[in-house]
Amino acid sequence: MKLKKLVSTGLATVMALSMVACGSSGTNETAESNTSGEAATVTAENTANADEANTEKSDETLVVALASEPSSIVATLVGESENESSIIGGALLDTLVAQDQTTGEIIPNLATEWEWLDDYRLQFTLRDDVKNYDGDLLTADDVVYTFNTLASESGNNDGGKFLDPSKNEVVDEHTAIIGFNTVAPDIVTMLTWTPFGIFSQDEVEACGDFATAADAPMFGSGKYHFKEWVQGQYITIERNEDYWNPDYTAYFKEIKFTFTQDAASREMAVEAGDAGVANDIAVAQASTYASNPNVKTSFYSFGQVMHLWMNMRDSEPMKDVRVREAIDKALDYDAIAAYQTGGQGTQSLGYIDKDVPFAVDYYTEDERKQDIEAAKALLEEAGYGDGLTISALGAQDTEGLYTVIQAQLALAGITLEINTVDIPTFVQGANGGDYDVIIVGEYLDSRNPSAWVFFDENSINTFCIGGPKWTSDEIQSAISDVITAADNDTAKEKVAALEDLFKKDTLVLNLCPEMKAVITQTDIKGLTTRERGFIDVTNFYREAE
Amino acid sequence: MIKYIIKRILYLIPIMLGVSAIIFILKTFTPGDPARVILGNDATQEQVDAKREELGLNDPVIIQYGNYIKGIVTRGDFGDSYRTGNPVLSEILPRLKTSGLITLGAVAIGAVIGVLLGIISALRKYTWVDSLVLVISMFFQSVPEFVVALVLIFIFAVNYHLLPSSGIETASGYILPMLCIGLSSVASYTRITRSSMLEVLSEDYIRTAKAKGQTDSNITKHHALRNAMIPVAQSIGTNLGNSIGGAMVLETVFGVPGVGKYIVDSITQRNYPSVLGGALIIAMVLTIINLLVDISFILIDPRLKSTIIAGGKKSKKVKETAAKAA
Repeated sequence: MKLKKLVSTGLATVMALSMVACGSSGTNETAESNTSGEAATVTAENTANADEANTEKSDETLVVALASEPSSIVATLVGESENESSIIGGALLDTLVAQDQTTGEIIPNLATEWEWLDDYRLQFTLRDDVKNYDGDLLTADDVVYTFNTLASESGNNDGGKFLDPSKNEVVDEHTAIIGFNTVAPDIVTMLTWTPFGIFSQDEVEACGDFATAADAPMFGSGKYHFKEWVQGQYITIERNEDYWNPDYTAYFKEIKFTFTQDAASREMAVEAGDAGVANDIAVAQASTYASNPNVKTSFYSFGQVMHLWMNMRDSEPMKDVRVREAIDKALDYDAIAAYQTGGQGTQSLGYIDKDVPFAVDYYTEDERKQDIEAAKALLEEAGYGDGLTISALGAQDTEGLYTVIQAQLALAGITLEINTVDIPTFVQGANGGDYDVIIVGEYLDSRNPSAWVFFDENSINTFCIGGPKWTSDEIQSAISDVITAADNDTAKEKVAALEDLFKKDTLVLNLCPEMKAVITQTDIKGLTTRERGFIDVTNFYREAE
Repeated sequence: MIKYIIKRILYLIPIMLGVSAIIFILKTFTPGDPARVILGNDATQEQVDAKREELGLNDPVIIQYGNYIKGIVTRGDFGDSYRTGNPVLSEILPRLKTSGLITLGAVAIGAVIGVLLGIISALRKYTWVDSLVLVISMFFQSVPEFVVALVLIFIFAVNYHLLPSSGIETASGYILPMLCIGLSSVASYTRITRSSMLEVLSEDYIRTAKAKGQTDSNITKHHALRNAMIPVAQSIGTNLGNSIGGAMVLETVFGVPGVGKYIVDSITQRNYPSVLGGALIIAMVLTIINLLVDISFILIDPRLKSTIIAGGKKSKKVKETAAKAA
């Protein structure tokens, strides 16, 4: 009998220990890691782009664990747009201009100079020492071919929507003119995005059709070249030993991308040493790894703010501004930000992320303090003193945030019915306007129409998930003013004017910045990002012991 | 026997039609427009409408279904993936091999461990060993597979660096998924083996063997085990189906490029041809497995031959005879 008890107790202890060990290796090590581990340095600040450039080369392979496998590597060739394609393709194709991710300044890359010839045409002078994949020199023909191809194959998305190929022109071997169909002085920022990587006609045609070329891109003048794609398992790229920029050194000889959907598995792959970098870890989940001394957890914002939009298309009760104001008053923005950013970020006081050069801190924190009594009074006045039920639509990853908002609104007598669905269903529901409130993260870090597409008057009937599927001449004019502003200072004034309009009718509530988290091995440095917060895998390096 | 096999193969037709019809109907009720998924959020309504027309999505469901079945029957065409544009069959077949390997390995691991524990449990019935075995097997059955998966990764990959945490680039990558799925079926094999062994051990011929002076190990090995294994062998077939289901979840945790992960990814991408193709092929495989299992029953236990092959009629006759005798 005693033996039976002993065995039972022992077994229970073993099980409990194994579960605890697996639950968090850092639970008891938090204090240690907070004093010595790099995770302790995690703050609300952007921890990406903070390291110095690498100067060494190694024969190592960096394994980057991505959440999913892309359907193609150079997605713009087949009219697609995928996060994973941007991360991988961005390493293979260089853009004409680049963006200094610390200062936000547009800097030369394949082009040494650029100049607006008129409102619609931008002339680029190219470097004369850039070698393509096949060793041939990059020419203006390649640039024009790229933009013509983007316009024809990716006319629906960021890659080509605002291009006007009829204005494209080869001036000479190293000078090309690119045309646009809209006036936007800051559209040059869009050209730093990964879909605008340059490729040559000869090389693409040598690959076969566009679909084949997109899957096995033996072209480009980027920091890395494509090596191999074993479908379902991995994609490998290798260092471009003939890269044109002497100021850049790729540390890793090869970068291998693996695909594991489960975030905990990706984190453990880093902890096990099977991967150097685990991308796309949900911030809330990443916060639980921040105290683990065996990995380095980095959080960063990337110019995207989560907004709560009101649906005002003839729908009761949202048509009543007092209801919208009551929702505003009922929310505790600090609590929302603390939840959504895992304690890494604060509430957004403006429509645009505070780190963006033309952002305006439109509201004060005092102005946005939760006031339940005021919310109740507004509802009473609007005839909803006995309570109000509204519906919320969101993508699945907004479930937790909606739950926080639901609890806050309940204090004022508003019942929030949450409907969180997968992305295709979300897009369909959003386009159908079948909601009272909707949370959308809007990426507005530059003043090009591709970033501001949420408001595009022509798109709003088919793609409105950033808007209330409702607009006005005043709003359209204000948005146009922001996009066409000659400089960021002027743009700030225009953004403030836009916020005036938003505030007047309480159209949208600014919640908090969206953040991303990346987990790396503790000695991996060089986390830098590109547009939309995509990691730039080319700058990772291992810190010398 | 051959007649029986042909009959069972013919059963595949209504089963496949039923499965495909159910998935097709479900597809029509699922929100999310495949045309918009393919073209992206920025596509205009005109472009989406044109794509819908091209894909035949504007046709009545029955016409779409008919075209789909016609494609499979006449050309072996399960459609093209919306995501990659490749034929679904060519994408699924290599993944089926991966999933099949993991499933077979898992069943083998589960059966070996489960049978051993079941035998030990039966031979040491009502002792602390019996209780311990029961607790261990129930533990692996009770804990969700994905939790066991993370625990195994933590122990074997993170702590001891013995096995890779994900992927199947090397053969060792198969071990953790196999182990994880296999462990979840241990309890079932243990229970069946234990009860079967206990039943057999109480049979008259065992008592006779003991009376003849046979040793315990001889009796277990030569008389009890073989007969006790019949229900165990039968449960392997059932577990194969369950293991394929388990593999579908765990492939996403272990980053294994199998059919399960393919279907899960396709569902989230509204990639209907891939979902349909994947589900149909899995249904087909499961049906074939069940057929093979039924055939194996006959080989293992000849007593079942007349019952299974003749179906209900024979068993009715047997029942009548038994009733008369009573």
